[in-house]
Amino acid sequence: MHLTQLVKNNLPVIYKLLVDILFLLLMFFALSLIADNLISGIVSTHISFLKILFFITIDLIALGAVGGAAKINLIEKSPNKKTITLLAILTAALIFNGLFRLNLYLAFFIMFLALGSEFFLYKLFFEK
Amino acid sequence: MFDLTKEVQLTNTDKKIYRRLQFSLYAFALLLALLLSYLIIFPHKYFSFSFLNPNSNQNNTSVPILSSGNSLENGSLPPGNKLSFDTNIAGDYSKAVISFNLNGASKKTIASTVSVRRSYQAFMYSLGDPIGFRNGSLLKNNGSYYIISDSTLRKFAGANNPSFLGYDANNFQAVSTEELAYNQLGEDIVVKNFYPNGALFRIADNYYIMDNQKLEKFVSDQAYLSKYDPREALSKDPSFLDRYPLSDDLAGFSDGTLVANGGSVFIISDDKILPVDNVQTFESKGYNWNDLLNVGEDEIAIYQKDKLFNIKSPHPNGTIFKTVEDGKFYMVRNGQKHPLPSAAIAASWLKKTPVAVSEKALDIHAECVFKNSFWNRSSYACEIPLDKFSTLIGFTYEFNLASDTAIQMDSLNVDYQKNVNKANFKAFLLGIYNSIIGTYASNTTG
Repeated sequence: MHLTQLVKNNLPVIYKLLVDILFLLLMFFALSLIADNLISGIVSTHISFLKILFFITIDLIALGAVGGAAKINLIEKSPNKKTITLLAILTAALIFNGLFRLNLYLAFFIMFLALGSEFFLYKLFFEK
Repeated sequence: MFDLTKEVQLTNTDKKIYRRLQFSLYAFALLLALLLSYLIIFPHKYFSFSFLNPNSNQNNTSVPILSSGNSLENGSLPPGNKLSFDTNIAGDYSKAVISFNLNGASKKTIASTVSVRRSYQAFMYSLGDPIGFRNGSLLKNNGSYYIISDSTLRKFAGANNPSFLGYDANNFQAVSTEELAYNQLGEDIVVKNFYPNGALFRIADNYYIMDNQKLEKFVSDQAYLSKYDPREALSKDPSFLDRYPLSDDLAGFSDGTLVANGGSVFIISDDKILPVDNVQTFESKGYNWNDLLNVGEDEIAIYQKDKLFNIKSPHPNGTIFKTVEDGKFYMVRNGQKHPLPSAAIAASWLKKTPVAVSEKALDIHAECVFKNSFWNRSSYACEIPLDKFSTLIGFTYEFNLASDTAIQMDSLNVDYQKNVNKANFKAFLLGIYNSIIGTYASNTTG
């Protein structure tokens, strides 16, 4: 069978696999970020975060293209509140840990400023 | 297996295909994760020098040099010659795999060996002339009194007594005739009230040094104390400042002094300050945290900021080494290590902890014979176990490559590897523990 035909016939399977790849990449990115935040350079000396982000971007572009071709659209689904809370806590912890050597009040101030910015960005992009 | 996209429905045939592919994908991801864990726990450190691109930023060994002292940037090693290069690496590794790739035109049958030794790069410098006492030192011997002025030994003439210039004879350090011989003999000091260069003064809570017959003020008391003892300065009243012109320059810290300002650590050397890039560099160079002087902006403003001092940087001028075997002192100066021939001479230069070195380590070598690679006929490699170097002081490995035949190399590589064993795994865990303690526990105290 011709390769193009094979791809065309299996677009939903490819789409599902791309979602799995995205999940693996995001999990790897999050875990690397936590590990590197705790022990500076433990992951980033082996794999640069830029490379991981590059693969995530490629995967997202591929997902958009395959989803469009297979007429699959899951983006309408609103983000899960539990996931958002978990991400917000993780972000706060990472920011605070990054500012650990600063003055405590300054660290809290910068952390809340960053979280506030995130909240408004979220509202801007996701609120109907 | 779980399904992240239940909304996307598949036919039974497609579902089977997807499950198989999904399983393969997760198995592959697991393998990659294991590989990454292996690389994190038992890391490799790779060094290379490309003779095709000798100026490339990717080259992380030192520039290879021939035994004649000329750099070998074109990769052409004449027969019977030696080539030496360094790599700087913190931490202990199990073995080093040294390899080089021959240029296509080069002879394919070669006989080459490589030997390695470990110490600090600056301690492997060639031996220079001995250095005498520091400028300004007050010395006495057999009833004669001396001052070191412009590196020469100048005697207080006349009644063999320095009191005519206001000095207290008790502030002169008794030294032997042999020790005095390390400074060239200068003119006797005969003129009353004429102070030689190098004379030190304490005037209105400030320290001064006579330089070119001008009074040069020390930028701070700390700067003075990094070079001299308070007893060496002659107390004068402020009217003394009218007798000599004041220098526009300020006298600074002793070369090799470690200072801290605003969370950064610097090494002072040759009128420059070298910012130390991280804690690992500071510790791997054998420096002592207790020697750090907290200084203000004004104290370091007199210096020009130089490039970052990293693990690849050799100890700068002014660094003093002390051998652990017999307590000999050496000072780094202009690419050579100069002996400080006695404890009294060393004391005139040393106001902080010297960097400990091992003289025996310079004689400990390991070597291997290059063999042709089975996979790549133009590549030669050999392996040196590094166990015998693990207890030695210093993080520079110096390689000496010798070849009986002429070789034209494209690249030179060193791959440091850790063996997979319990000891290295324990060392990794200890490193993680120390890193966490260093980040969090030390912050709470500081």
